[in-house]
Amino acid sequence: MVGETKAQKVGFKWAITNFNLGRYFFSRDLEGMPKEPTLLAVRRALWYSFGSIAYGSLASSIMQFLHQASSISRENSFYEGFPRVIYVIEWPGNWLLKFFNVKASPSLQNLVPEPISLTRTALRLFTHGFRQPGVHHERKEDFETAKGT
Amino acid sequence: MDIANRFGHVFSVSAAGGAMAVGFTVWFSIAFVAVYIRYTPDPNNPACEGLPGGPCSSARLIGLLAYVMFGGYWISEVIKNTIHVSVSGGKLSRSPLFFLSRLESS
Repeated sequence: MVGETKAQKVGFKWAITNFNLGRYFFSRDLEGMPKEPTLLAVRRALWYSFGSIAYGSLASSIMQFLHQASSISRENSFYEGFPRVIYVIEWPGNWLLKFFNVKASPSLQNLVPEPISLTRTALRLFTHGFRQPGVHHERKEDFETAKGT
Repeated sequence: MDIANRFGHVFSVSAAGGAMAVGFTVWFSIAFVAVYIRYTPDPNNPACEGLPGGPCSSARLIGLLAYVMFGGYWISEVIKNTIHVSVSGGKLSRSPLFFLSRLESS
């Protein structure tokens, strides 16, 4: 286009690039794919991302190993405190799993209380104590005694 | 399932990875039992004397079994993750890098 401003140039480029990108992302055909994409994917993954695969697997296998060790130690009274350590290590993962499960399935939402509200309630109990602001926690006996006097 | 039917590589990669995992499990089982037999402290165990690898003891047996278990867990996870990235990184991938490489080559 003759006489276009710099902003127009950038805008046209942006629109054309995003149009092509969107057409590529949302296309359903395999046009333009290499001949053996699976073999290339294996090679690419093992060549460029083997560290991620290996170290990610290491973290996962450590968790599995500790879990197995805790389940063995439950049968042996000598290692009594060990399962509690495992519980603390596995707590964030289990919390996330429960959170996603409850969030993902509508049928569970009515059955299981939300873990985030449970955690919030537990934190509130720890920080503020069991007496909530605005709620009268006086015992009935105290009230009757005060009324009688 | 539609994706698996449309792209046959899901089944082929799963079959190849499954065969590899079965082979590794057989190897792992043989190694586990071999370590157990070799290092079990028993006076009737003929492997405890005169073989390289040291004498039999409970500590050595437990340590080596834990080592074998950990290695087994790790390698099985590597196989599993490799299958995963192979399935998802091939025909199903829509990565911007691939798109850009096409732009550059054209």
